[in-house]
Amino acid sequence: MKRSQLPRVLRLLLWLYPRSTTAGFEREMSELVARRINNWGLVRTALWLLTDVVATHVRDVGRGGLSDIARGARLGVRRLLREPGLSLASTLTLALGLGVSSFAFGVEWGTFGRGLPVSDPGRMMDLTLTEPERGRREVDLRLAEVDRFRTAFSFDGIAAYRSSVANLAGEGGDARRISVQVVSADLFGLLETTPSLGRSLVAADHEAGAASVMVLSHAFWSSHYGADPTAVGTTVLIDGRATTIVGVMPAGFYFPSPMDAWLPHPAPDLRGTTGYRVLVRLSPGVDEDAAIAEASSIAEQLGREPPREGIRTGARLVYFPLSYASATMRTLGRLMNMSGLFLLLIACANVATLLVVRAARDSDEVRVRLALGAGRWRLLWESIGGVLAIGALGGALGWALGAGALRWYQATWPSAPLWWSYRLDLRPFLFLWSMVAVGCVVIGAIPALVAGRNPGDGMGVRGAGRAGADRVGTILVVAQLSIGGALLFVAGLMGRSAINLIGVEYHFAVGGVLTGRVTLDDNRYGSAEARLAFWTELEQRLQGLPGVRSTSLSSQLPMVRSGGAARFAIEGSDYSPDAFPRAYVDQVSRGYFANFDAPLLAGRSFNARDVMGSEPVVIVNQPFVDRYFPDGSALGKRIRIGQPEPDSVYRTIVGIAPHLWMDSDVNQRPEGLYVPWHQEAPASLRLAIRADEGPAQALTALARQALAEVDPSLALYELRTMRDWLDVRTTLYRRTGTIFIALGVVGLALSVIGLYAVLTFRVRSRAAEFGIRSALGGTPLHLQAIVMRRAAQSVVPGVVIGVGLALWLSRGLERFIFEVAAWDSATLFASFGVLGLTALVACFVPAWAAGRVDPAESIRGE
Amino acid sequence: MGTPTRSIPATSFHVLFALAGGAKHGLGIADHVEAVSDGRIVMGPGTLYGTIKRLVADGMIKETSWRPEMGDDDSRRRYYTLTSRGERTLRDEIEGLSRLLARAEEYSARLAN
Repeated sequence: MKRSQLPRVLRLLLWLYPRSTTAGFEREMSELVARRINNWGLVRTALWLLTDVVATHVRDVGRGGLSDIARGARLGVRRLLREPGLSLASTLTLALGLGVSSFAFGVEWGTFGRGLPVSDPGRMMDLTLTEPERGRREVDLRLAEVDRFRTAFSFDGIAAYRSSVANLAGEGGDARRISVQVVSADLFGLLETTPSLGRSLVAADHEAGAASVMVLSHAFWSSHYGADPTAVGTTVLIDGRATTIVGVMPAGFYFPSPMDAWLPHPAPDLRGTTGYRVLVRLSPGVDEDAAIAEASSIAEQLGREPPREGIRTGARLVYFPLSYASATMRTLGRLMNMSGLFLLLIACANVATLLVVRAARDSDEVRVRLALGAGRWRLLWESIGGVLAIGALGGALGWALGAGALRWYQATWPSAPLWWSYRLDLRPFLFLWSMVAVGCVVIGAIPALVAGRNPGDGMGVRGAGRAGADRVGTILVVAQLSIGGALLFVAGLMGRSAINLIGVEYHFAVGGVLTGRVTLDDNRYGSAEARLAFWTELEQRLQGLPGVRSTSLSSQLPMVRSGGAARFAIEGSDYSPDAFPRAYVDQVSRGYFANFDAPLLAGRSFNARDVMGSEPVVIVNQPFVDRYFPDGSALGKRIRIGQPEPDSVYRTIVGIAPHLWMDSDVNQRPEGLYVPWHQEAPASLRLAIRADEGPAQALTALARQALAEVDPSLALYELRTMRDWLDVRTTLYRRTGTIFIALGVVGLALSVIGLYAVLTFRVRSRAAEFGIRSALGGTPLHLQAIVMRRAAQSVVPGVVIGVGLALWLSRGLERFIFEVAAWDSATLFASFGVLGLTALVACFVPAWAAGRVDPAESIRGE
Repeated sequence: MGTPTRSIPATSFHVLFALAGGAKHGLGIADHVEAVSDGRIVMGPGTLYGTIKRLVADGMIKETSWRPEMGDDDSRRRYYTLTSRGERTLRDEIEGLSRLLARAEEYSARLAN
């Protein structure tokens, strides 16, 4: 029975036996197998044979085959050293690809995935209320409401916290403003941290009449008290109240962002201050859906009691890191992950290309050695040994690069929240590395196996293995160029967007504007009259401060927004109950638009006649007009805001405002409405004070003083200049832009290295042909043209596929780039132009070499 | 101690045992092993020829020029026969096995009583 008469799968299995065992018995083995098929059928025979193949190899290795591997690896490494350029290129390619992509993955994971530094971060959630009928998705809780959730079976830990600022005065009387967190004592336990000095907060600190205490952050203790242990136990004045410092938290601990001190929240009462965010830990074994269901039923109950009575209320649970991430940030993260994956693919294809090239070059040698009786496995171990050496070195360099880049990223962002932790984790990195290594080995081994299959076949033809390698190489290069081009395009868009952001022109006053926020408590400001009186007096006092040009009070500021959009209805339009349109609604003072140098485009601003009880009015913004009144007939029309019930009031449109960045996201152009706070009497407003000249910070003390004169018990918090707000709002875009540019450049470099390697290989393997052509009178130019024509066969399809890929990608990009069209043709031309040009240079070097082949030299070489 | 222990792998024993009845080629050995084990042991080609190669290397069996006088002989088949060392090893092995078996029978008899 001849082997060729056996079914293909059995022939393959027989071929897999180690040569050392089976040499000389091929014919008998085939006969043995053929007999089995007659008895057992194909499937059982194949399984039997497979088991035997594995067992034979295991025995083989056990009897000294391992030294074969070691010998092979040594030979492989020696062969690498014989060609340091190619080996270095593979190693660096792997290092760059692994390092940069693991950096991209690390940034995404560190921001959204890793979570709080506790033993089980996956159970930490952010809890907020929702008011679906008002279109509010994240409603902060009152302390009394937080307590209602403590009994929930789904949570085994719950803590409320609120950012604030306070005045700190020592015995000397010199006051300074510190940023504090007003928190529940449970917070420290939930975050699994203990004080490094003294104690943290305890439940008794919340009781009415308890002595006032404070816990310092390590950074503030170091900077303000010179890390003096005796600071613990001293008494200071916090907002005029004698407060004892009871402890210091460990270095590096803060929550949620770097801050100075923690204060216990007051005893909860029904009308107590609102504005608390809530951190909960799910009970072990409770899933998110069950927890949401339970929290929602508690929230519904809250909606049936004062002060929420009549407001339909729900609950919302979000994995904690995501509660601080906008949709834009998350999509940017996904985009970054995808780019990292692309880069990894390029690197993988690149290393594989280099290996294929190497294997093809060695194929003649392999054939000769096989024919002389060298073991096929021995040869395979040789090539795998080389790959493993490259993999180990490239992996180590990649680790260093990725870990270093992430460390740098962390270091340049000192204001990052506690859980934004950027470091390279060993296990995912090893996983990535092994995927890449396996991919490379598989691709790299194919030519070696093919070359070794029938040792006799290729003997007559020199370079017989090269045609196949050439094809594989070309496909890999086309793939690299197209992915590299698409990556470069994305990088170009993100980069341009980042540059636009740095130089963005905001059409409102930015310089010299100080902003802060005041929230009234329900105890003393329960009535609309009391609130109106307070805001009116505060505005007058601020206006009267020396050095102040103008002021405004408003619920939100340009580029500063908390809270979502509200429903509205235009008079005369019919909406189905579920499909009411939404828009942002800001409550503003009369001087708001003038204060920000943003004059109305039409109509009038709010004036002294727009008060409670007078005709309700509204100003709409330009995006609103563009969408709902494209014919320009907005003025005089009427709108209802909020719950669409028949008796809710209609507001008359009296003016049209320009687009004033009502969203915190610089890239959004939302439809919005402005109503005078004089007709609403809100409990919380932001103030914006514009200095006559000089920096805005200079107004801080004056603003505090003005507030203290109206009501000394109220805090002025979120004190920031407008410039600071804008920096905070655009940091993410600027940083991601930089990262994307780095990804694009590395992608370009890698794909061009692949092209260069393949072309160099082609020129070298055809050296004889070029030599003959040259001897027959072929000019260098002619020879170069041959090489360039071959190069074009990779570059042209690569670019065409790449442009297609880029256009497909760009459809998803629109929302995340600033003032650049997603199909931006300039960026498209630029990125693929750069790619083509670099490719041209990479081709020219080997082409030039082809033109200079010395006929005598090349033929002698054969 | 004198406890009978198996000194060679089961596959080697089977090959030696098959050759005890006279020279055979690889396929013949496989057939013999299958027959004496009532079809429970079917040696795969790697196991069979790997064992043969190792036994040749260890001097337990040797290739022979002997050929059966008639039948479907193929001149390319290699025939093997036991060496004196192989015979000795096989004998020791069988002795050890029978001692082991005797003890096992004693044990099972005690269990039955």
